[in-house]
Amino acid sequence: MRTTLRSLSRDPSAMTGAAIVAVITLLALLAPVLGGDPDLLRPSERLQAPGTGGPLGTDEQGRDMWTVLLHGARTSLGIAAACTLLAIVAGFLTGVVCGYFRWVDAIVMRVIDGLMSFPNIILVMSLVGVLGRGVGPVLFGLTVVLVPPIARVVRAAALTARSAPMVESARALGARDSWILFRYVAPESVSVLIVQATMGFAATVLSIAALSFLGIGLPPDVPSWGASLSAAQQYAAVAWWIGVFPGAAILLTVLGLILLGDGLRDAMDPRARRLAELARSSKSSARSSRRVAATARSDEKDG
Amino acid sequence: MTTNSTDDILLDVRGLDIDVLTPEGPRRVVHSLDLTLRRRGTLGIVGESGSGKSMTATAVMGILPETAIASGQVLYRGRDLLSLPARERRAMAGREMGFVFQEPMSALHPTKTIGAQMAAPLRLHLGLTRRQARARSAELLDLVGIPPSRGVLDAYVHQLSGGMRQRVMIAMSISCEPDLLIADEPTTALDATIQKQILDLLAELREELGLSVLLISHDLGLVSRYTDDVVVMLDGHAMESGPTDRVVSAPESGYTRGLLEASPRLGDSPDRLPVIDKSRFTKAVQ
Amino acid sequence: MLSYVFKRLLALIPTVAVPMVLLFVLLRLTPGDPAAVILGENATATEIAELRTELGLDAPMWQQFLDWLARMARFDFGESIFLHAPVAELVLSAALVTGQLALISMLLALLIGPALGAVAGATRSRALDRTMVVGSAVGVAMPTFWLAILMVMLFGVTLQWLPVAGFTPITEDPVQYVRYMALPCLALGTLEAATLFRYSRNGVLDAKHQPFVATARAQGLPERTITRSYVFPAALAPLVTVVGLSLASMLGGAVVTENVFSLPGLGKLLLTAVERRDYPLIEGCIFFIAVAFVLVNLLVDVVAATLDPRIRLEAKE
Repeated sequence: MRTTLRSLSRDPSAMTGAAIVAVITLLALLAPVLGGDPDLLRPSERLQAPGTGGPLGTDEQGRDMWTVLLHGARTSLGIAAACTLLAIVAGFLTGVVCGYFRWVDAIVMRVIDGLMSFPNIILVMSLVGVLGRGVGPVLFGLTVVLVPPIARVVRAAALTARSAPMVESARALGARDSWILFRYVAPESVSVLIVQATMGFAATVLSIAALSFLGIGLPPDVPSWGASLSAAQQYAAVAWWIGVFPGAAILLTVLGLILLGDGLRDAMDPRARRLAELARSSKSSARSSRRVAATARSDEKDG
Repeated sequence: MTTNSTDDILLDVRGLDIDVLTPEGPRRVVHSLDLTLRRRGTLGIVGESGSGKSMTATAVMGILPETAIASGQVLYRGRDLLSLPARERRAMAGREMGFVFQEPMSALHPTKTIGAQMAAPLRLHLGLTRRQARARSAELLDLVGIPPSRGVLDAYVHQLSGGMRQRVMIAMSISCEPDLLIADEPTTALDATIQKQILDLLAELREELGLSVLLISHDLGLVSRYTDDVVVMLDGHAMESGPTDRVVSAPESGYTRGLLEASPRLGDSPDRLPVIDKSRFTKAVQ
Repeated sequence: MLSYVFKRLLALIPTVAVPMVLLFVLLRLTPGDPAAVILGENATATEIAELRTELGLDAPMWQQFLDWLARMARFDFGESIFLHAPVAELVLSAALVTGQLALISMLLALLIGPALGAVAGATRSRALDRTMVVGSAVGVAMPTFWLAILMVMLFGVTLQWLPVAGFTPITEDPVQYVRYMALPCLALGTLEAATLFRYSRNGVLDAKHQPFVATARAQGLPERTITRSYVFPAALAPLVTVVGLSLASMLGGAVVTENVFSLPGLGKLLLTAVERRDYPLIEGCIFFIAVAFVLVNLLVDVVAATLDPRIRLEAKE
């Protein structure tokens, strides 16, 4: 774990990602302090350009754009965090059960295959359509699509743990199955889970934005990046800032998460780690630096 | 060694050092190595994995991995290959020297037919047309014991058996009639019975085409049956070199003696496999 | 080959079955009377009772399920509750638009992505590679609908080159068709190209270090030839499979993009259905999308098998 963190700290793109994610999280947490009242509608100050009506201007309802963005971050990150946590719990349980009970596995894995190959956003839309609008269905839909990849990873770890000698001996010593699971499967799968969770988080931020943009996500009075964008098209000719800032916020957040996720994956993959170090060692030997840089570049993975 | 006129020497390696870049910095894997291969002669390099023997072979061929650097002299017909420009060096590969890899399965392209892979150097070096190259490839396959009726030219590598793949590899390596053939553990990936067939094939081709052969192997017993001279390597150093008969019958180095004892013989069923304590010899070297 | 296609088809069944069963179960598990929920607060008792019968909600669960299975097997999705037209008709005409959008965008992505990926993987210029990698990361992180909105703002509103929304079938007016389709296809295609770029770049980087490259070097072939005819073919053969996966993300993007440009495709139809909780229409859309998805993946598998001799051999067995 320590080596993982160390090699992560030497990966510039991962550190950029981490910094972006940290700043946005901080802004979201401090939204009430840094911004004004997101519910304050000032019809007289609609569509003010950045600088005049506030640092980033005002939207079509006269709300301060900067405040709306800050609270949009709270919404996005909050929901994405909730969904990711729920999905980790559900995915972990599913994966462990599948890894241990073969007959459950046969059925559940088919279901997971089906869910994984279907386009996420379409599935979530249809679930919202069946269950009705509101935070509950949206949370449910977004969580359901995150579970399959997590369950797969955990299942693989559970299958390995099942046949590992130390688990056999733990069982022979009379350890309870549930204890064995927790003791061996959790650490085995934790590193891959972190990567999956980061990527899932990014996908969820995108999905919430898309749903809100379509107007079937959150209630209209909740500030969100996607909902702001749906007004942008209508006012494109007079207020470019409504279309640019919320989109940039989504892009930055997702980009930060993806860079961080890629970096985490590389840091946990020993081969990639070795190559990253190889690239650094080139500084010591001027003669070979070009050559090593070429090799290390060609070996690094990014997706 | 008997005195040779310089004309008689095809390959003369002098003070070859090879450094590999590692996370901890450059590491020397071959230390001032000397090799001499006479025209139409055979030279074996024997050593355990990690002894630097394969690195030496790839350095001679000019196909070292990008993370490795060779210095010293590799004289081929009196010209130092290490000081040649990359383009000239590359042009010699395939034309002047052929290389047989250890793992034909991965050394052959997965999605190109054998015929296409064989034709490329024939067209490049010999200027053959597509049709001529195909005819020549069929002849070459015949030469290594694959009759045209097998349809190998249109096959892909995964459709062939292990022995067949290595025969194809050999046919490719000699296709432009090189003078030097470098075989890097050519039989390690094969079954014991096929091993002998392949080595006999190499010996036959050497006679027929007048090749000089550099044979790399971890098996001193095997090398002793097919080479005139041998170099025994340990951790990048030459421990012993000389005529194979002499090295095998009266080894000077204790390490060579250890290798000889470790090499399995037919009918032998030792209770324990012999173990060589490398550290004893490594100390002597340093 | 036929048994291979059949085997692949079997493996793809869950893709259709799982979402459909999920919808079936969830509708019936929703608290309250689904018919009343679907029709909203202003519905009369008779209307609700009618819908209950139409959806077969009065029968016991197991019978509902069997009826439902039988209807699905006959491709009978009934009638849209609000559009008062057969679901199959609505879905098919919308699918035609989405199909064109997806196909053109995918072609565009295939034209840009792999070529740039191959260049980035093969180039010796670190700066060029870095620039392209950063660009692709932005492309992957960018929401399709935001790019669409930005394009509308730039080309539609500021420059006024292209219409911002609408659709004309190609049979009616080919020029208008191109004008309407240009922006949606550009938005979807560019972003999908970013994904294909990353796959092909990694493929090239992997292939560059395969032993067969050393063999080609030992044959004396020049680096340029090795890259072009040894590294690229090995790297790009698996890309066909990626296209199948890409299609899933692209359909998702298409659904949202259609709504930016008011294209009368499946995405717009599904949104209408979802907004009004038009259950038969949702069911029809999902079924069609899933089936189309399975068929395209099957096609991709067959193409992959013909391109890659290893898969072809496997397919024969």
